[in-house]
Amino acid sequence: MLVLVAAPTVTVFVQSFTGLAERSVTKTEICGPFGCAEQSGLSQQATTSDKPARRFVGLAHYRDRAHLAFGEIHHRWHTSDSLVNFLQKTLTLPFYGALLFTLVYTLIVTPLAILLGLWLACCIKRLAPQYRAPVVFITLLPMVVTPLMGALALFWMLDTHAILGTALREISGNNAFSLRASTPLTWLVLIFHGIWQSAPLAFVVYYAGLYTVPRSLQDSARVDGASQWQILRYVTLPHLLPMTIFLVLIQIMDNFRVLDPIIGFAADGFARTLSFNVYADLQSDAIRMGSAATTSSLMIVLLALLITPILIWVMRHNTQHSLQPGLRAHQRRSFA
Amino acid sequence: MRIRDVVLHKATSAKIVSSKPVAGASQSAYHGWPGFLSTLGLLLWLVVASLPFLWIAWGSFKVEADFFSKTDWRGALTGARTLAETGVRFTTDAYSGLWVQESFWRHAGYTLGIVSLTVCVSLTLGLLAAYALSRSNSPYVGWILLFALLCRALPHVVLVTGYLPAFFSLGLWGSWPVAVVVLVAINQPFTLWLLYAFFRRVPRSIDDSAMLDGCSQLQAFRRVVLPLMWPAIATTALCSFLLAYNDFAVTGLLLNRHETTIVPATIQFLGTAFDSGKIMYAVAAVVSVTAPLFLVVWYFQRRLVRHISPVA
Repeated sequence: MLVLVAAPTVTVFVQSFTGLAERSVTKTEICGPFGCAEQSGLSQQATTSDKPARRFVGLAHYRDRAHLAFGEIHHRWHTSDSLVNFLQKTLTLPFYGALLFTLVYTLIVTPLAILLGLWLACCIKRLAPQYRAPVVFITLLPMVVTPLMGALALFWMLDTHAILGTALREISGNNAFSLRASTPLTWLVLIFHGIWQSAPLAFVVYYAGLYTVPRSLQDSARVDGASQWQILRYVTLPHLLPMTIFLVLIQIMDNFRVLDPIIGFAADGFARTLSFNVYADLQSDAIRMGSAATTSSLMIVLLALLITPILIWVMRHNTQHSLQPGLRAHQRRSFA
Repeated sequence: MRIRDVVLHKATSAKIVSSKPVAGASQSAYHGWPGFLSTLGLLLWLVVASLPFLWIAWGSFKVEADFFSKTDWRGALTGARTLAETGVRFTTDAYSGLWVQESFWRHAGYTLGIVSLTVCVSLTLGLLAAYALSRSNSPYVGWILLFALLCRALPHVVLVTGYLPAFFSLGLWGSWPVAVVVLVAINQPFTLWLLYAFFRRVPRSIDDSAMLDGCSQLQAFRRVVLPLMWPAIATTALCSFLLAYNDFAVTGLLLNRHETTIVPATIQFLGTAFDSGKIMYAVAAVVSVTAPLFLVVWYFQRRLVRHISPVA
C-alpha cells in the first residue's frame, strides 16, 4: 500500500516541477472568427517515442495563469479600484474559481449532509420494525447508486422542459427560467445533489451507532427528568462523537474531490472544481501532465490544511475519544 | 399545481412505508406535532431519494420527445409521443439500441473483468495486511492506520496523475491491468481499515490456541480465523465492488473509449447527444447500470448497515 499510494504522491510533486522539453512542443496558430490563438501540443516525434522528453521548469507551472497566476493577480491588484472588484476579477481565473466552488461545496455539503443523516437515523430508528427495511433500502439508494448515474437521473428531471423544470418555471412565473442559466442556481443544484448523495453515508454510520448507545444511560436521564432534546444533546450526541469525527473526515475528503456531478450536469461553464480542472487537463488531446500535476499538488496541500486541524484535535482528545477503539488502544500503548 | 398532484401521488404510493408511528415499542416515539413533522419529513425524504430512479426507469421506455418533454411535460407520464411514434406506450427501442446496436454488452464484459479482479486483489492484500496489523505488538500500528486514512484523502484524479509517468514510460497506458492497479490503490486504505476493525473482534486467544495445537501462524489464519471472518469479508467485498463499479474518474481517464467500463461508456452517448438521437441510449444505460446495484443492495442491506460503521 505504501508503494501503491505514496509513490504516486511523490511523482505528482516531481511532475509539477517539470515540463515538456521545447523540442517536443509544437506551436500551432488557430484562427477563428474571434482572432487567432496560439495552441501548443505534443509534436509527432514526442508522441511516437514512448516517453516525451521532459525538463525541469521550477515553479513555472505554479506561477502560470492556469494555477496560482501571480502575475495576473499582481496586475489585477493594481488595476482594480476596490477589494470587491479585485476579488471578482480574481475569481475569473481558472484556479481560484475552482478553488472557491470546491471550498464552498465542501463546507456547505459536509455539515448539512451529516445533520440530515443524523435526523434520518433518529427518525428511522423510531419507525415500527416492519417498515424499517424498505425505508432503509430507499434511503441508501442515493449513496450506493453510481454517483454519475444518480446525478444524470436527477439533472434530467430538472431539465427545462422535464417534470421538475416545468414545476420550477410555473412557480417562478418566468417561462425562460432554467437552472442551467446562472451561476448561483447551478451551485445550488450541485450542492443539493451533494447533500442528497452524502447524507445516506452519515445515516448508515449513525443508524448503526445509535444502537450502541447504552439504553440504561438514556433511561436514567429520562428518570432524572431530561426531555427528548436534552437526552439527544447530553447523552446520545456525546456518545456519537467518535463517529461524527470519522464522518467529518470522510465527508471532507469525498466532497473535496467532487467531479462526477459536474460532468453529469455539464456544469463546467458555471461551476468547476479542482478535480474537474485536473480531469480536463488529462482528458485534452495534448495531455497536460505538468499542469495536472501542479493542480494535484495544490489539492494535496489544501487537503492537508483542511484535515490537519481535525487530526490535531483528535490527538489532543485522544484519551477520551478516538476514531476507533482499536486504534485508541494501540495509541495509548505507543504513547505510554 | 399539477406538479403537486404528482408529488402527492408518489407520496401516497410510498405511504406504506411510514404512516403509523410505531405501534408496539413506542417508548421513544414522538407524539403530537413533532411526530407529525418527522413523519412528514421522512416521507419527503423518501420521495426525494427515490423519485429520480422511478422517473428514469419509467422514462427509459419512452421516446426522446416524451422523456425530455419536448411538447408537454405530461407526455413523459402518459407517453403520448411514444404512442404516436411507435404504436405502443412502452417501447424497448432504447434498450435494444443500446445493447445490440451499440454493443453495450462488451463494456459490461470489461466491467465484470475489471471489477472482479479489483475485488479479488484488494481483498487478498487487505486480508493479509489487516491480519498482520491486528496481531502485531508494534507501537507503529496506530500510525500506519492513520497514514492509511490520510491516503484515502487523495482525490482519485491525483492518483491517476501520479501514475501517468510510470505507465507511460512502461508503455502500459490505456490497458486494463493498469486500471485494476489504480483502483486497488484507491481501494486499499478503506479495505484495510474495515478489515482491521473486523480482525480486532476475533480474540487473539483463538489464534493462540490454534498455534498451541500445532498450527503455524499462517495456518491459524487460514484454518481458524478466516472461517470466522466470512461475514466481514462479504461486507468488505461489497464495498470494494461498489467503489470499482461506480468509478468514473479512473476508468474514464485510463481506458480508451472502445474498451472502457459501462459508466464512462454512458458518458459517450451524452457527447454525441442531442443531434444524433442517441440520448435515449444514455437513459437506458443509466437504468442498466443502476439495476444490478438495486439487487445487490437489497440483498446486502442488513449486513451493510450492521457492519459499515467504524465503531459498531
